[in-house]
Amino acid sequence: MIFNTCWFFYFFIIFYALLWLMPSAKIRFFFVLASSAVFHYHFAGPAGVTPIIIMAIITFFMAQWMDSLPSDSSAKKQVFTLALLVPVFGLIFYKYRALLISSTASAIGGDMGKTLTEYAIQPAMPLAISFFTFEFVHYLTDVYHGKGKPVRNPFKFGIFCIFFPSIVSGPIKRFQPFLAQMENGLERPRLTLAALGLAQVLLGFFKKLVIADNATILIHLLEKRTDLSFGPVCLLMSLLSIRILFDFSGYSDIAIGLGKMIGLELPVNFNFPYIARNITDFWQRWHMSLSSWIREYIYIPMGGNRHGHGRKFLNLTVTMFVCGLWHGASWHFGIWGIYHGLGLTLHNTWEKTSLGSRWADWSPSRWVDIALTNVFVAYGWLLFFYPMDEVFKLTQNLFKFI
Amino acid sequence: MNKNELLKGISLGVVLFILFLAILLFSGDLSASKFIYVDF
Repeated sequence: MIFNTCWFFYFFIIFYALLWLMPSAKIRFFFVLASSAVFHYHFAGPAGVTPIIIMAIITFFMAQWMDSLPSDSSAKKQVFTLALLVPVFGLIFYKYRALLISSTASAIGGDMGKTLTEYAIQPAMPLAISFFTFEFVHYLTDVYHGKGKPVRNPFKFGIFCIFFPSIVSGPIKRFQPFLAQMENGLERPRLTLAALGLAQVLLGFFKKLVIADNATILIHLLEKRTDLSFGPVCLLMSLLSIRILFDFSGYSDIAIGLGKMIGLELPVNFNFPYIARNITDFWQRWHMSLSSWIREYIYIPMGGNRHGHGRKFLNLTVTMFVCGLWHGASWHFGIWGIYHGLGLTLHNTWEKTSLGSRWADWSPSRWVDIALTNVFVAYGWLLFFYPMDEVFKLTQNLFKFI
Repeated sequence: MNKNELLKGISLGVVLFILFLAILLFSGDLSASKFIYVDF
C-alpha cells in the first residue's frame, strides 16, 4: 500500500501546504526531515524503525572513522569490511534467516533437521530493509574508494536515509548527487518542476491503479482456471509482464514525481524496458537504479569481465542470483536471477560469434530481437511470481495446444 | 507569460485532468491494491 492509502493522501496535502509556507531553505530542510521521520514511523512502527536507526548510526560513524585512516592502510580495509558486515548481516538476519535455516534443516534431515526447523522463525522485517542495505553499502563503498567525502552533518545523512518519497522502494539513491541538491538547505521548488512532478505522480497512479490493478484482476481470473493450455499461459505471461512493469514503474513515477514536487531529483528507474533488443539492453532499461547498483557493487568487485570469458559468465550468474534473491526470501527468486544470468551469458556469447554480428547487421533483426527478448522476459516472470512446482505445471501447459 | 508557455501550461492541465478522470473511472480493485515491490 503506502502511496495509495488515505493516510498518505492527507499526510501529503498537509505536508505540501506547509512546505510552501516555510520561510527559509534551512527550515524547509528540517521540515522535510521531520516529515520523513513521521512517515517512516507511521508505516514501519517502533520495531521497524529501531534496527534502521541503529544501522544508520553505525554506518555514519564507521564512515567517519574509515575516512580518518590513511588510504591503502590495512586498518582502513578492516574498518570498511567491519562496517559492511553490519547492513549485510542485518539484511540476512531479518530477511533470509528463516529461508536459510529451513533449507539447511531439510538438507540435513532426520532429528537434527527437525530440531533446526524450530529455529526457522522469521523476525518481523523492518520496512524497506532491502533498500536501506543497498544505500548503506553504496555509501560505505564510495567513501572507502574516495568517490565521495563522508557526510559530517548527521541531519543530512538522516535525510539521505529516510527521505520519504524514496524510502520504501527506491529508486536506490546515490548520496553525492542527492545531497548536492541540499548544500544550503532546501530551496522552494520551482513551479515548473512542481507541476511536472504532479503530472508524473498522476501518471504513476494511473499506471498502478488503472493498468496494473486491472491486469491483476485478469491474472486472478486466469489463476483460478485449472485447464490452462498454450494460449491462456501466453496470456498469463503477457498480463504478468504488464502488471509488474506498470506496478513498479508506476511506483517509481510516484516517488520521482513527489521528489520533484519537493524540489529534489531522484534517479530514473525505467526506460521503456519492453523495447529492449536483447537481455543486456533490458537490464539497462529495467529497474535502472538497482541494475547499476548490482553492476557497481557486486559484479565489478567480483572481477567483472576482467578475468576471461569463463570467469565473466560465472560472475554474471552469481551476480544475477544475488539480484534475484534480493527480490524476496524464496528460492524461486534466486532461480529467476540465475535464469537472467544465463540469458546475459548466452547473449554475450552470441554477440561475439560471426553469425551474431551478421544477424545484427540485418535490418529486420531488430523486431525479431525485441520479440525474442520479450518472450524470454515474460517466461521469467513465471519464475518470479510462482513457486517452482507451479512453474513446472505452467511450462507443461505451454505445450498443450488444445 | 508568452503564448507558448500558456499553451504548454494548458496542455499539461488537460493531461492532468484526463489522468485524474481515468483514475477515478477505471481504477481496479482499490481494496486489494498493493505495490509488488513494497514489503517483499
